[in-house]
Amino acid sequence: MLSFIALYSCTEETKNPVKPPLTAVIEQDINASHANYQYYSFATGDTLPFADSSTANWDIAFKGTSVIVNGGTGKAGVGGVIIMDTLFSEVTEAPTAGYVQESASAAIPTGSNNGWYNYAGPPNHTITPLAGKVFVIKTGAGKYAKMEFISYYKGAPATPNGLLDISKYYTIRFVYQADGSTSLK
Amino acid sequence: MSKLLTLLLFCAVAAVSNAQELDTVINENVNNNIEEIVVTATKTETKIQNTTVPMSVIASKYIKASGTIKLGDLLQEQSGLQLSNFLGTGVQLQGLSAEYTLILINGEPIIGKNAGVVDLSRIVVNNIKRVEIVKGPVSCLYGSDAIGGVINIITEDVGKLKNAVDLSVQYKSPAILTTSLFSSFSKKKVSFENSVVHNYSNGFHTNKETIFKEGAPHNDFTFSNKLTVRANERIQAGIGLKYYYSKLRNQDNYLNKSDSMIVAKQEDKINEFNFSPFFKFVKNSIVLNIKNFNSYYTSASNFSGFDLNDELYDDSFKQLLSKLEVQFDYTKKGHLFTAGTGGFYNLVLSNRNTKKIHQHQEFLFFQYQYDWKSKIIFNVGNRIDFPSDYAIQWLSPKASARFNVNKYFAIKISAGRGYKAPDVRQQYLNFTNALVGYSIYGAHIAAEKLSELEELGQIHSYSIPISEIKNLSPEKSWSANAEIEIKPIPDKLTISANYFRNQIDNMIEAIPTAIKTNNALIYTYYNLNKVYTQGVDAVVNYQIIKGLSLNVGYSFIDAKDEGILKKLKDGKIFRRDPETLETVRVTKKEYGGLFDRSKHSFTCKVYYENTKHAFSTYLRIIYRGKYGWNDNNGNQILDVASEYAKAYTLMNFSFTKSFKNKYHVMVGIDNMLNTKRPIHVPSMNGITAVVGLTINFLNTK
Repeated sequence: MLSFIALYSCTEETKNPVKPPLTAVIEQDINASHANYQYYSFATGDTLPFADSSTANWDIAFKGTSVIVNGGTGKAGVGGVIIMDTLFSEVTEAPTAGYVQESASAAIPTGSNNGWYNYAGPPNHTITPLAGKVFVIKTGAGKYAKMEFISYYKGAPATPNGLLDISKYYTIRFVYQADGSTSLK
Repeated sequence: MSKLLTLLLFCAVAAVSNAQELDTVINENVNNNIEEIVVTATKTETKIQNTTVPMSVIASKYIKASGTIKLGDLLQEQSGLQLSNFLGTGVQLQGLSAEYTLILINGEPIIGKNAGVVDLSRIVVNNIKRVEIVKGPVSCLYGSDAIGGVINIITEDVGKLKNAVDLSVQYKSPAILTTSLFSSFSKKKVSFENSVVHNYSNGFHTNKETIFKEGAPHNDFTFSNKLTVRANERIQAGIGLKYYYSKLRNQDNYLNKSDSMIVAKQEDKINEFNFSPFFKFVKNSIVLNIKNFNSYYTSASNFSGFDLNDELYDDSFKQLLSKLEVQFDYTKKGHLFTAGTGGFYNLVLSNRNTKKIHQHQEFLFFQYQYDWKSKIIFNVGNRIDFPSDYAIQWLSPKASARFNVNKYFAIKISAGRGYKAPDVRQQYLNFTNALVGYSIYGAHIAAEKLSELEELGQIHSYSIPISEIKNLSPEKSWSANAEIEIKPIPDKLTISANYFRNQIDNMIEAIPTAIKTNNALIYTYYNLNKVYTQGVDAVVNYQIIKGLSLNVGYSFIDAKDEGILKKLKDGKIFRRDPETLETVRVTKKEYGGLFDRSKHSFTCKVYYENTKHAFSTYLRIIYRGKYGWNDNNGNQILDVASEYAKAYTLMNFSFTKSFKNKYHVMVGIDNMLNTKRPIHVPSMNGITAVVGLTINFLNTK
């Protein structure tokens, strides 16, 4: 499932040589075209079966253009999300508070230019992830990660066409901090 | 760019070689527009060289010489004007969208707008007297919409009519036929004018891959009449009557993905009826004008047979406007005082609104102009509008001045406010597109609609709370113009350059307000953005020799959204490289400004008239620089090369020859360079032949 690991890292001068910089992972083609949400764990870097939906194991889940986090109403985890308008490389520290959880309204809003994507409308109806939206995520288990959306189409084509390409296949980039700290360097 | 330079060079060479050939030609006196009278800038008759605001006039001889039938085709050839082709043809002035250009016919408005724009192809210009274009805001006299300026089509003669009957036929390849009959009769006290124009096309393709013909099959018919009675020296009264009918029909069969035959159809119908009685009283230095204008417009638009599902686009619209205006002018010793008052009633009935919309608005305007020895002329004015839907008034002050320093040099300066009232669509639209899955509600009904949906449990979430939805305020501008006019050879060579800046606040935009439980978005209109446009319009008019004139125009436009500039400054706008999928921050330098504006545009026109041999030639070259077309990378701003439409050059040429002062033959080639832009300007046909014949059956003074 892990299609490739980019050698992309935040090459800020490491003053503390003990911690090597975290590695950014690109996960390609998460299939969100099922009737149920597709659950995903940053810790394992893999999808989880529907049976895990009522646990704190998953961190993020996808269905069509809807994306949810594992925290809030009806969720077993303690997760949440903060959406930042910035570059992925510039988020080096996760905030300790202010995470939005699922409630009557979605933590990651749906709708064009409202959450994570732009919907171009006719003629091609293409969905494009908004550039410069970084999603700092508190995982189901209370750890931190940052994530950005790259594509909504299978194979992450360079110039997707909403009518021709197969949609509901997410490609995301993320950095996961396994040690429980807020550092996302 | 090199292509353009070649063209300009060609243009100059053509002018010079013509000049050499024609040195010997001595003609009877040709009027060089020295005493040209205009009415739009002050709502009174004024000499053009006494106007205090940037303005230009397209005289009828140029319209005739170019063989132009539709207003859009005529305006396209004018310096500093850019056409826009979204839901009909509109025209931008000073880099402002077409909704901010007020189009008038003899000073009266045109109703039946589509997305805020009057479709210029509704207006025929082949027998008008002139077109007056005032740039910069004129809301101080005309009220709403006159932010970028006013284009006033003048069909009437100032003086007495002659007895004339003219029949014209024009064919434009591949498929447009225009037939017109004009007649005017004048007896001592009564004069009557009639014009009938029929424009027909069986349609043509400019792009073979599309279903519908870009040059749509259509049939339109304009029938206008004016009767004037001069009771005595002082009193004049009359009635104008106009009927316009248009029908457009596109139909084609095609195979869909599952190989079944689909019949796709588009049908648009328009009916417009105008009735306008008027009364004029003149005594010494007093002029009193009373004008009533009534216009009824209906349109029906229907699309069917599209593959996606059975959803039909079916739109019907009816509007009635009735207006009364009284204007009083007093002139004495260089002082002009104008006071006017009036009101209008507007009724709109549409299947896109919830109910019948009634609105009325009253207004007052004042103007004072002082002319000091034709050396310094200054003008101040203000208009107050009292709209029925609002408790407050809208003010549109303006001040302008002209300094005729000497016969070689003049300066014009003006500053003022313009406004555009929220239209019925922005206030009351109730439209749901089930196919794409969104709804748009006008701002004045949105709160009510959203509450209804919430009660039904259909609202998932709000991105803007209901309490934030307010009745819309008008869009308002502050504008300034400064023009220098240099006449190195008075009456022969004029060089002028006008700097303009317009700043619009409270721009109305539809933005997402709520999401329904079925994920459909709901949009509402808000007063949001601030936009500025600034630039320079430069024009050179050169009467090279008698009968030969050269007109060169250049326009520079810088038009940007202030909100986007702020975001760019804060580093909040990004772009993803489609190849590397890397996100970068967009810099201020990369921002190309508002879509659909060319930063640079040129026009070059060479007109030659030989009265001895009764012929004329007219060459027009129009260059439109690249302009923003579409946001391809989803960051909603114009920032990368692939988001621009390519520059293009059009070159049109015509030749007119008269026989016995009775038969006038016109042959022309439009788009000689065979320029085609199937995506960006689908209606642009390649090289086009134009032939026309006009016969004067009767022509007496």
